[in-house]
Amino acid sequence: MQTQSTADNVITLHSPRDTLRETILDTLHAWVRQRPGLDPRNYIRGWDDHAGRAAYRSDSRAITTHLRDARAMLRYIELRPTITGADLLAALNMGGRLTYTPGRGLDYTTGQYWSMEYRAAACRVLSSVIWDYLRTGASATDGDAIRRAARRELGASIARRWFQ
Amino acid sequence: MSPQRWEVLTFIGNHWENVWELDEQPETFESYGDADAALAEHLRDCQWAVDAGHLDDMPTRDAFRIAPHVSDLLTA
Repeated sequence: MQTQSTADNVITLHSPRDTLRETILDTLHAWVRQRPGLDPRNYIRGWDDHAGRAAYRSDSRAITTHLRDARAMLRYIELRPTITGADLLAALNMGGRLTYTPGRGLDYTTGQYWSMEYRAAACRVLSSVIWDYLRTGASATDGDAIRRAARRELGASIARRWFQ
Repeated sequence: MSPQRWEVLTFIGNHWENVWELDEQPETFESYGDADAALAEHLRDCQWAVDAGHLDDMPTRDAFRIAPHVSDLLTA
């Protein structure tokens, strides 16, 4: 989007809508907002099953964190229109488990446990898109510079989890 | 000596345990404040998940505590 200023008003010239970008971002939002189906009964066999309780709490922590991270990275991308639908499509079709086909949507190949994987898969795609953006758009020249930029722009916890 | 790290412990039935993981290792934090902020964020995340119907039970703050990372104490 370009903006031209005159003495009394501002004229905004909209670039053509990137519908692929909008569609993929909407689809990813819906993807990460799906119910994880985390059921304590699948983890905890009885009142004295401490290992089951620990596993359930651990997975609850991971899965809620993945959602927060995904939403933060989606927001980051939404605010940067130079990241295009083609960029998102390329990241989704790099050979990971989460792929996108225009007109069809997202497909995911489950590894071991879908509930723990689907949001993390979206985070990996989003961090890959942002990695490329930081390398080219923000001129971060090497991996360390990109990691520093990610920490500065997205916070230490997201950088720690997805930009190693 | 490396700087003291901190961890968030969860009450599991009859003991306190760090069940938070990062890259398949116990998750630790550089300061008490970082751990406290992460715990507050986690409780907000849980509240959202419960409200959205994604989780059935809402953990309370007293089910957690922040402590020095154990292996740091052993090697200090």
